[in-house]
Amino acid sequence: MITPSPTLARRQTARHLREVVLAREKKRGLLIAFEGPDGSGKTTQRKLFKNWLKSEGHDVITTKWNSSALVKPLVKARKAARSLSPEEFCVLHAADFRYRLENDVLPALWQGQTVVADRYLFTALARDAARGLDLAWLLDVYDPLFWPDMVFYFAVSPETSGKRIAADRSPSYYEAGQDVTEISDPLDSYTQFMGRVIQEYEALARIFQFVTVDAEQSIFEQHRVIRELFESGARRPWERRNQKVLVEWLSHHPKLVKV
Amino acid sequence: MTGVAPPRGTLIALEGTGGRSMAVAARRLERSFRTSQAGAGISPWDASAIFLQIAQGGRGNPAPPPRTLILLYAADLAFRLRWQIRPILDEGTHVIAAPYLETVVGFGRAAGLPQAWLRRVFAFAPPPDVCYRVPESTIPVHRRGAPSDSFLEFCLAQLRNGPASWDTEEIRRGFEGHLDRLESRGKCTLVTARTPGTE
Repeated sequence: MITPSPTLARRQTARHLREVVLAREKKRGLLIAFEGPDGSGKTTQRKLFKNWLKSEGHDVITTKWNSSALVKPLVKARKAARSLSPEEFCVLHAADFRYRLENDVLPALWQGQTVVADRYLFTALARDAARGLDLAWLLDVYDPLFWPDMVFYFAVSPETSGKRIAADRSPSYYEAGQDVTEISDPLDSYTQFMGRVIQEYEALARIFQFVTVDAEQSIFEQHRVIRELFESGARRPWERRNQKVLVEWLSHHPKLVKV
Repeated sequence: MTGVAPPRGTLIALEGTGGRSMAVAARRLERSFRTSQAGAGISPWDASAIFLQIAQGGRGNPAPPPRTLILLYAADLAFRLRWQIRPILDEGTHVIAAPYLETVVGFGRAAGLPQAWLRRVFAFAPPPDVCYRVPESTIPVHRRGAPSDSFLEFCLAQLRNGPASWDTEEIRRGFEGHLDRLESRGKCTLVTARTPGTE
């Protein structure tokens, strides 16, 4: 009997896993991302949307930005100490994202659940680019990208965002971008930094074709638009880059492949 | 006032599997610099205590997969570059980074991740001026310390306890293979009893 070389065996495994991924297509769940600056109302809309999906019979889970039990405490402690450089800030959030992707998002999608992401990787791209980091490097850090089925972008002006935030609280040091603006007043810094973040978001929205929602409209009107857009959106097969992520993930979860 | 900038120091990378063996090699190298009247500083793994905090606080959570571990290493390295490596180099002093880039690249490659991705993620870190490979055999077995002293052993322990299936012995062999290739291409030098400063 001839034993295949390790390279050939890896290729055969990858081909088999691609077939498994394609076969799962009809049973898989959907990934919907809600993106936008602070104060754009996306969390309110995410909650309304989630409840509506549930009422429609979807099995839904939520994944929130910087929320993994593993990485969140690390980020929180470093933010409190104001010790993060833009690079460290970026890769810590990327670690949190990758951890949630592999432990929460992919397993849920594989089981057919709908995943609603309250901020996805575009938050990182916009904020980190606004901190002066190179977008090409940021895309490398988040590579391989796992693409949502739909991205809702809540467009709001820096002034509205600032006003909504200031109504509740003072923005925190990193939220206000004080690490890069060096402006001592948190709200002034926030308005300036958020202007940069929104510019980056808008560039991303054009490049990656987000569905833009006018976040200055009433809460009900936004919710109505989202439902309509979601219902009219055609279900497309997993993108090639998503297949690549799934093949890498499945290669270390043999039990899921057998099932 | 005109000032003359001090000459930039040398960045020396120590790479290998063992935590204790690299710490010992780093201290020897630092001593030898001091003896020759040249200053040197050491930048050890986990200076930012990220991995220590994960080991202490991460119980009950699924263990992080390789890409997450690599991004966490990148966060630790960004910390080390900001607070240890760059300031010491700027003073014109030598820095011994133990470990530096090849240890994490070796782990990532051995875990099946593309080398190109690993190199791109760590593009923020300057390449070292000199790279040494530190074999575990440089110190006796009973003095090699706990697995948590070493990045590779920490990662292998995480993968063994995680939800996914990993052949950690194959990763260990792949890691050694990466350092073997670097050594055979002259990109790193094996530390032996004759290596200046590390005997």
